[in-house]
Amino acid sequence: MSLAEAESEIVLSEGSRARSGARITRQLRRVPLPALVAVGLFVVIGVVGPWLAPYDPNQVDLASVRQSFSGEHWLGTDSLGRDELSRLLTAARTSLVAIALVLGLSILIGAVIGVVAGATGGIVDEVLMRLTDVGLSVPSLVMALAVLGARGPGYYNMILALTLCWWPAYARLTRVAVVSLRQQPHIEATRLIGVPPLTVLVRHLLPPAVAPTLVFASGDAGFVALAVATFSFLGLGLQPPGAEWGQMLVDGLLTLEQYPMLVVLPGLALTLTIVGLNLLGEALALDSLPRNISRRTLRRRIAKLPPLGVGRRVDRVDELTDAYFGRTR
Amino acid sequence: MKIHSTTRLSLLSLAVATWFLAACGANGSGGSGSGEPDPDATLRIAISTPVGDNLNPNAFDALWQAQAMMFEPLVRYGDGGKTEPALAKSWTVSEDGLDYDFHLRPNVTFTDGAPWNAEAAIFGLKQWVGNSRFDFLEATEVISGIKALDDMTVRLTLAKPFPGLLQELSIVRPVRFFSPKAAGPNGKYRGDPVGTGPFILKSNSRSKTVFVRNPHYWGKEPQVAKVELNVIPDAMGRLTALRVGEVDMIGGAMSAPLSPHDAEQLSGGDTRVIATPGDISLLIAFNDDQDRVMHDLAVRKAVNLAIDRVSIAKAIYLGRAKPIGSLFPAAVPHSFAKDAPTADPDQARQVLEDAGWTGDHDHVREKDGKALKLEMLISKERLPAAREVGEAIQAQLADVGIKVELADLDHATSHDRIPKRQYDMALTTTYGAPYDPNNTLKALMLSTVESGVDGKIYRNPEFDPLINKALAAQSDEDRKAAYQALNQYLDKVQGFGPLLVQDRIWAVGSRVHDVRPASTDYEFPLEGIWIEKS
Amino acid sequence: MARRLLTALFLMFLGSVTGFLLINLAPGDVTVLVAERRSGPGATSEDVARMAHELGMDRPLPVRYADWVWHALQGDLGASLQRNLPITPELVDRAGQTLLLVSGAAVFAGLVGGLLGMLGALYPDSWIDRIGRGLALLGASIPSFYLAALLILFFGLKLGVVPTFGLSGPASWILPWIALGTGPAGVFSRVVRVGLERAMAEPFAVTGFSKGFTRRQVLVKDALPNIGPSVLGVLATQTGQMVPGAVVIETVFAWQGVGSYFYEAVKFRDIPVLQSSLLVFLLAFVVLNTLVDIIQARLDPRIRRQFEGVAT
Repeated sequence: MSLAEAESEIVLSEGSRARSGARITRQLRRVPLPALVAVGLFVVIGVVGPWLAPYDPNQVDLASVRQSFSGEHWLGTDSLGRDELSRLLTAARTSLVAIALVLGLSILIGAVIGVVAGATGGIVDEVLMRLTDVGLSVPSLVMALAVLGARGPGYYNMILALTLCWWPAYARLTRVAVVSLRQQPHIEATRLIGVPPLTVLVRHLLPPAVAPTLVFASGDAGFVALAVATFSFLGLGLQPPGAEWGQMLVDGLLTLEQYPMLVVLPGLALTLTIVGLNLLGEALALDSLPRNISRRTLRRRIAKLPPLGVGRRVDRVDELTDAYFGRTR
Repeated sequence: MKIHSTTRLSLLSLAVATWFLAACGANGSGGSGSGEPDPDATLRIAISTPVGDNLNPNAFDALWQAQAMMFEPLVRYGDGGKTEPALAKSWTVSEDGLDYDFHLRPNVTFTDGAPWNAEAAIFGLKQWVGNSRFDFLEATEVISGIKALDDMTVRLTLAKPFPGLLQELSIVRPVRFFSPKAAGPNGKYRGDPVGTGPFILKSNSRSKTVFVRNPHYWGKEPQVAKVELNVIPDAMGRLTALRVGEVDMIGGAMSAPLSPHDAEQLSGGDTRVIATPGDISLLIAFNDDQDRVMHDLAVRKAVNLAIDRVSIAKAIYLGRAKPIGSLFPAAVPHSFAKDAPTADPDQARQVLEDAGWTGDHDHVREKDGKALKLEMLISKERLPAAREVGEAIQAQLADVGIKVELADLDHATSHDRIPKRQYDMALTTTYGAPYDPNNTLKALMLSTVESGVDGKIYRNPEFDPLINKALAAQSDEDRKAAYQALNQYLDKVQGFGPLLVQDRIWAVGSRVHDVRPASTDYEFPLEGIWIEKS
Repeated sequence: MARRLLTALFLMFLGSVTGFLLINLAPGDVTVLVAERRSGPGATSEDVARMAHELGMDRPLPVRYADWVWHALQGDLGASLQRNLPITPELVDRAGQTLLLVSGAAVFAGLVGGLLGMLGALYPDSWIDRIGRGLALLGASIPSFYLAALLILFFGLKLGVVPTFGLSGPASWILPWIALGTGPAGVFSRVVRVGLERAMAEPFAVTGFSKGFTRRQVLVKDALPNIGPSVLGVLATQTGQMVPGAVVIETVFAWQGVGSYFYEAVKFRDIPVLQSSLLVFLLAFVVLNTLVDIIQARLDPRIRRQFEGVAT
């Protein structure tokens, strides 16, 4: 689901109000088992992986490097004699934390900015959305380099950089939801009966506006995992000796031919996780969103949209930014 | 100087015992060839980055090796640091060491027909002598006069004695000569790479650079008609290219380093691996400035005691490296090389304990509430094995209670942080032949010289007089004494962490013969190389 | 339409300016690098200052940016700081490689994705549909660099049937195309599959069935043309997303395209090169998206009408 699709869905959905927590729970029940297993496993390993690891994942043993599978080291050892299984297990946490932090922070920042922009309108809206445009228009690689350059390389700086690239999408989603909600009769009604604006904002606008971003986030998680790995791949990620799948894969590339398992295994872990996350995201989105809405439908619906502000047409611009934003592929 | 990674020094003639690792190492055996040299053959060498457009011998843009194929110096750096004649047939030095008379080689012409004579020599020297841009060379400052004694003799007059002069005159840039006819109206290099060397540039692009044999070369004419430098940025790509016969030769520390793992993979096939002892030292630079943890001698001592150089050489370099215990390996003149100390974690712990750095096993040590944490800079861009070496050292130091944080910096960031000395340790190298020992000492250790991104191996104004003394020493005896004093001092203050010297590794196809690694890593091993007729 | 183009241009401008600002604000003074590169090691502060002046780097940022734009508009993108070579010819050369990479990957994505999607729609819920959907999911999920490594390992190293790197004739194009095109192929097949399925339920399809046409006939003759323009649009958008993805693929396969140019420039803080390769990325999107609009407007009368009615 692209950002544009998600946005238009929110706008067009007649009963945004209904898309609440209860509905998400219902959707969860429809998630296919493999997705639940993959994601569940990932989360569990991410949480308890370091305790499951048979060895210290950073224990270097130069006397036993690049061993193949054995009873002692189930998945062999890497170029510095570290236990591959232990590193794979530990690395799950690296990805999990990154995904949780990047998405969590993005949803949070996005919610604040989106709600403020959507609820206030006018010049504030205009300024905040321009800011969002800028955020969306900078390639993540440039953003990451600037942040990592300024703050030094490191895991949390990478998360910061990713968050800076990620939040604008959520701000946009939240804002679109808020704008469309504001025009709904029940919100109009709260104003008429004299509910304080802040209460309206917090109680009636925020929850239904944030709910769809959660759905979007579930499908987005795979992209974060991919981005983390890609940054490692380009040498911008986690600093040694920490274990990270993308980094392990890059390190293994040097000896791809002689020791292919050092590439295959971390890649497999990464791919399975992303498959699981994508399945989950798809299942969650399926209920409210016809999968892969056609461009024609999208266009027809957008034609019916109320204007969103000066010069704003949602579809084309977003595809441009979304694409340019370049979630690594 | 921009001599990242490895140079290798001259091999001592003893070390020239080149070991062929491949199955069918002997010349002429194996392969389908006839055993006869093919005078029309093309030698194809893989390089990792394009040669560069600006081949100006006075500039620092192009690949050294390509410049060295066309441009020649007055004197050449031979095996073991011996100075050999090149464009100067012979030379004499005055008693006081201030006048150097170079007798130029007769009957040499540039490839555009311009004659090599005193005029051309002076023209070439004036391109760089006295130019502050090149002040990393002592010669730029020391040479006070250049004059022609006759048409074929040039006298260099020095302001003060400088025994390292001949060695500096042998490097690749900026000291080599181009044809005065190839100069623009401003008297500077115009863009046509015309030299006196054994090869002539035929074409140069981002993917391929082609040289042809100089038929009028004054020296031994090359045995191959053409040399092609093919750009293959990817290490695996180079390996494959050699295997399938798309190139004939890969390797060379400065052009496209062949990792020990890749070499391992190549031995035993239809290719030969040629490894000889190198001369570029891999070191950890210590930053012992006042405000740094490393200011404490005990910490520096403990670091050196805790590192297991033998394991690193064995596991990461697959034995194709030699652990060292001194700044330079034995191949470098006046090196006072020492064997690598045996790793002794227990003693390292004791040293730290005695100095007040205490802590439980498995924990980072502390002293006065300050944790024993060191930041170590590595650069994978500069040294392909940097990350592995860094992680190994990180683990070995963790074992004695020192926490190392590794920072893998890109080129631009290193440029920012190294000169500002924002680090505790940094993985670095010496320059190797033909620069060592003088240039490493001057640029990487003298506190008064700016060394930019190359940083300092050790910097302490107290140490400067010792270096200056060594650089200025006149007699062999003085020099020996000075270098000994210098090495003793470094040892006493534990100024840096010596690690190892990597072998110089080349791999060639089965039709390539007589590959004799050049005396420095800044030139291709082209002399005498031949390809058999297929 | 004109408005969209304007918005897109505005965004291009924003992206370009922000990229410029960020790279300038990042530490790592490029003038020091250039000074050392051009005049030997250990550049003094005078060397650096002189170099900064020579390069015009001592001017205020807005002036430098405006200057770059002014020259860029005249086709002169300046010279690379790292290698001191004019950018325009090199960029054109590299853009050719990236074009080869991306267009090949797009064709791959279109053919494979389209075929999988069509087969799935033709035999819904059959084994072929299930496999197709599984492959689509896998394709959309697998990181391109991992796929690239696996392809190199099996086809390049184990089987030795194709070159593993570089650009040396058509055989060397295959692996990079697959590595880059698989993700979009996965997405595209789902779009085709769902689009066709939906079209098959529309009245015109029902009419087709009632006239006695087979499912295959209806799908190919009626449903496919019906969704054609919209899925082509999706493919074009996917293609746009492949351009930044080329950074990774060009690095892995050692191609000298715009992606690797951009990546090198970022590492060296080679600002003019960075600006120029950014420009290519941005242009690619604008062109692709305009192309989509045109194709759709021409092929799909409904959209054409809609444009006439809505667009200003």
